[in-house]
Amino acid sequence: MTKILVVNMIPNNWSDEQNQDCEPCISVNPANPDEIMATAFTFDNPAGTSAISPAMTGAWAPIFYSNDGGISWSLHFVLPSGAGAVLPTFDVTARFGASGANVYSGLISSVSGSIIINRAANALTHQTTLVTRSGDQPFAETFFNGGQDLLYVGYNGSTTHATIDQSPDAGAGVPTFNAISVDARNSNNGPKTRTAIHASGTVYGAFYSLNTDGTWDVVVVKDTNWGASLPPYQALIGGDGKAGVVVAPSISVDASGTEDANFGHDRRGWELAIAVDPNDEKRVYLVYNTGTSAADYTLHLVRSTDGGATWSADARSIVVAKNPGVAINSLGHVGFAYQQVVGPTGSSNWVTIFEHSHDDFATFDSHTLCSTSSSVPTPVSSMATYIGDYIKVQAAGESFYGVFSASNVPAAANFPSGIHFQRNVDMGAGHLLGNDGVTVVPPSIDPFFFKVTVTSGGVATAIADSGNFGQVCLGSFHDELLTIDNNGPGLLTITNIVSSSPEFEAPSVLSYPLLVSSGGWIGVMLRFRPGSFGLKAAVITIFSGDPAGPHKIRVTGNCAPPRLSLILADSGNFGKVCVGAFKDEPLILNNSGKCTLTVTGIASTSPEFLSPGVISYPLSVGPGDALPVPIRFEPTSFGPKSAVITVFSNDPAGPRKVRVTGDAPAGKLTITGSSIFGGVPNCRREQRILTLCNTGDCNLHVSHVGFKHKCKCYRLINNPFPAVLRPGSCLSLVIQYFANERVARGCELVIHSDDPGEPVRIIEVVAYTLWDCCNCGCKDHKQGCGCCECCDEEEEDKE
Amino acid sequence: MIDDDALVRLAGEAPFIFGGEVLSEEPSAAVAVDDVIRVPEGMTGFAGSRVTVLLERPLRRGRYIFFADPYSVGGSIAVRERGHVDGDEAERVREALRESHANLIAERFEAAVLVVLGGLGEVRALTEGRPRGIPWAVAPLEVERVLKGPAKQHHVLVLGPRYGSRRLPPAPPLREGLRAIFFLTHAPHEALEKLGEGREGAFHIATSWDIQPPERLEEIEKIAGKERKRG
Repeated sequence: MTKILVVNMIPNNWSDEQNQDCEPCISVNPANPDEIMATAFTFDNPAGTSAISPAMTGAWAPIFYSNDGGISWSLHFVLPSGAGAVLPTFDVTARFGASGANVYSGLISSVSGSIIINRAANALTHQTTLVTRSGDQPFAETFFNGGQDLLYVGYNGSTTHATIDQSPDAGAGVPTFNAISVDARNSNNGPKTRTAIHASGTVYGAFYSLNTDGTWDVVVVKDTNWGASLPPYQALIGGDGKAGVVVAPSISVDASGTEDANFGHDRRGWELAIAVDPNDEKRVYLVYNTGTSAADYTLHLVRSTDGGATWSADARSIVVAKNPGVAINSLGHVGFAYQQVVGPTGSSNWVTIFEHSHDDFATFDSHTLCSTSSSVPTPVSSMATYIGDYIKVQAAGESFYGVFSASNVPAAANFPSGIHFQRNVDMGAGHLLGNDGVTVVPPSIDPFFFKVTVTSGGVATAIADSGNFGQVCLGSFHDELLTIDNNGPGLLTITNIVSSSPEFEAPSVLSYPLLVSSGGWIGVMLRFRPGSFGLKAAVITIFSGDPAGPHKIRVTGNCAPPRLSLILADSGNFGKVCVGAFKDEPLILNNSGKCTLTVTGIASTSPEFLSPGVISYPLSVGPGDALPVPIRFEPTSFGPKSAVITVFSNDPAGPRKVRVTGDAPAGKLTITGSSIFGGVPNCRREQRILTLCNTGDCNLHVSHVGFKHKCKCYRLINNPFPAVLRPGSCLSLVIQYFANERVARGCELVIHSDDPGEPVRIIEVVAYTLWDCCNCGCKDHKQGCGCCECCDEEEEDKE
Repeated sequence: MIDDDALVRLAGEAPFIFGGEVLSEEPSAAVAVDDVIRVPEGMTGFAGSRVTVLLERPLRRGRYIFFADPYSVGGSIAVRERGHVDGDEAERVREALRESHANLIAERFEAAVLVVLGGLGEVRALTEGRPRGIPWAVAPLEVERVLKGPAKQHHVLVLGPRYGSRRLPPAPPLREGLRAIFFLTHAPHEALEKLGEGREGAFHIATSWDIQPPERLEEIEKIAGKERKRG
């Protein structure tokens, strides 16, 4: 739905006015859309072209100015002109600086005939000239970037031909300008060079290029860096390898130099308008015309969605029409205005139409703003144009603002969308009245302001659990349906849905806008995909045409971490384990969290406590699950042992540690029996038995049993050692004494074992010989009680 | 006190010349207009109105005659002061305005080779379509009275732009049916070439000041008389 306001812009105190105020242009202050200015061929006196001479009274031509959104208008005399000039200005456009701080104009001076580009601090101040050029039809556009006003003035330069004259900082004390020729093919162009600028830095330029065979190409050039690329305006390359894409090749455009009675008493030639979507620098609309006479003079509205590389067929074709204006509002809706001759020659009307489409003209609504006779008033031949060679449509936010010129006969039927006159009129009688409110003033051409407010829908939303996505694990996601209802009276145009957090993903819409009819709804999926642990919150913002502004929805979710708990029997005490043996105990990895636990490694501080030889980490433990992994105690030496087992995982609390202990006991040598022989009659053999027992918990390695020194009277009989004594086992050792010593001598029996308490045991073996010859039995027995040497025994010992 | 020369210059340049009572001692003063000496052509209802004057300097309450440029016109009118004189100098101002105008006419009269009262006939374009140069046109001028130049001129041709052209900005377009006093000069060579035959009797209107309404005939005749005497 749309609301339309149409206002005749001639102020009340200018009610005597009867000039041909044609060829209007408009500019809305981007910083304050209530502030609007417009230009037209408007003199500084009400008589103007109706007078014999002079035409201009003073040196300043007026602009139209409104500070209440276009409801009321006043004239401010700020544009450079000259007393006696036959026109207030030639072609003129004025623009608010995009910063809202300055006002610029590009016009052809009615004094010098040159293009002058001008500036003033505001719309109410005399403008001063910044730069002078030679050419035709300057058309200014501005944009604000980086704190600076960028000014682009398209025109057909006398030597530069199709030209974009641009200043990167037009608000500077002494701004620089660069006049760039943009036609790479030909050196003759139509009067119009139009620009469209996007916040991305993309600047489009459009113009007509005259081919050598007399046909015309409609060309679009592009720059992606505010026109400052090197070389500039070469972002689009045509099939011939030259800069610029030819949108309409070799068309016939036969312009009429002056008024054509078959064309509503106006002239024809080179219609052109271009607009870029403020939300999508690749979406561009262009209007051009073809035709060699009034009858086949046709406007073509075409669209590009790939940044000008390719263009659609006609979205709209309008016959016998001129003065296209096109703009795209913040919702992506397209406003298309034009003026069409309707009716046969002699009784035709100029009909000004505004079309509005939210779906690229698959459908559109059409509004007649004005329909007035093309013969009333009689055209003033001194201008060569009746209603002018251009109009302007501009979008500001969701609204479209425009201006056109037409006959001002004040009859309600002439303005089907409504009309508001400021000047004195008698609507009933269809008369214009002078300043005195009585005198009838003849009809003339006036500028008319129009504003089309797109009546939008309203956003209402619904989402489960008040937008709480609940628990979602890291690496996974959860979707919730967001229902968007249109509870407003008009079409709801959703231009974007954005999330304040990347963990809450807005729906990936292939192409905005989304359209919701009044009372309808759509569902879009929101996704919570946490990227880290913890409680999460975000704001989902729906940008739409809802007059209440962007709609915000708070969403929450939780990404609880896994929690690793370690369980080990006996508080990690492995007990006694002999060296050479091992013992395994299961270490329980328990995940007490709500998301999968990922174990990335297990380490031990001691090689005697072995972590499991997992081939490849990570190990996964589901929420609430437990995983036993064996820990092995395998001591390599005796004694108490300890270590720390560390488990690495994705538990945000960090690695978990458990202390493990164990003991590696040794064997214990216990000796029983006696090594004391006492006195032994000579030449007799006595034996004693020692029993070596292992009274420890682990094997005892008895590595050697023998006499420390040579003891020829002692022998070990069938010494079983070295030998391993199992815990609790014993082996006996037989010691034999052969008594034949004259002098008693002791001997030390040495026992080596791995008993850590006493690895070397020395047993005193004591015996002596009792000399009694009767007992002598030696073969070399000597007479008397002599010694009975027993060499055999010695020999045996040696063995 | 503005001297006579300055006053003549001011009177010649100011689109608004009016007398009125300053009602407030402010930089933008409300003035009740009681005497209109000059307003932009076609403007009515100025006398008796209350206008805002953006003063050069604040003035005490009282009556003054203002010379001003237009500033804004909307539901009310505001002008920007160029200068002022005391309110009792209206006649001096009127005389200055007349002198200014006479000077202009005299200047144009002197520059003209032919000054006539007459009417323009059908305007015929000398170029086709929308020319890249000046859109020259020609129109016959039926002479009613010769004020300067050969007295027996009855028909001359006038060359001028078909419509206002940025390539010849001062020249007014030819308007069929226009009856006026024309100050004619020699036609530019370029226009004569376009015309072809009949060059001898072809003239040109150089500026919009060179077209004056028939009502000024007497005034212009006086100037012409003075010029002839001077000549």
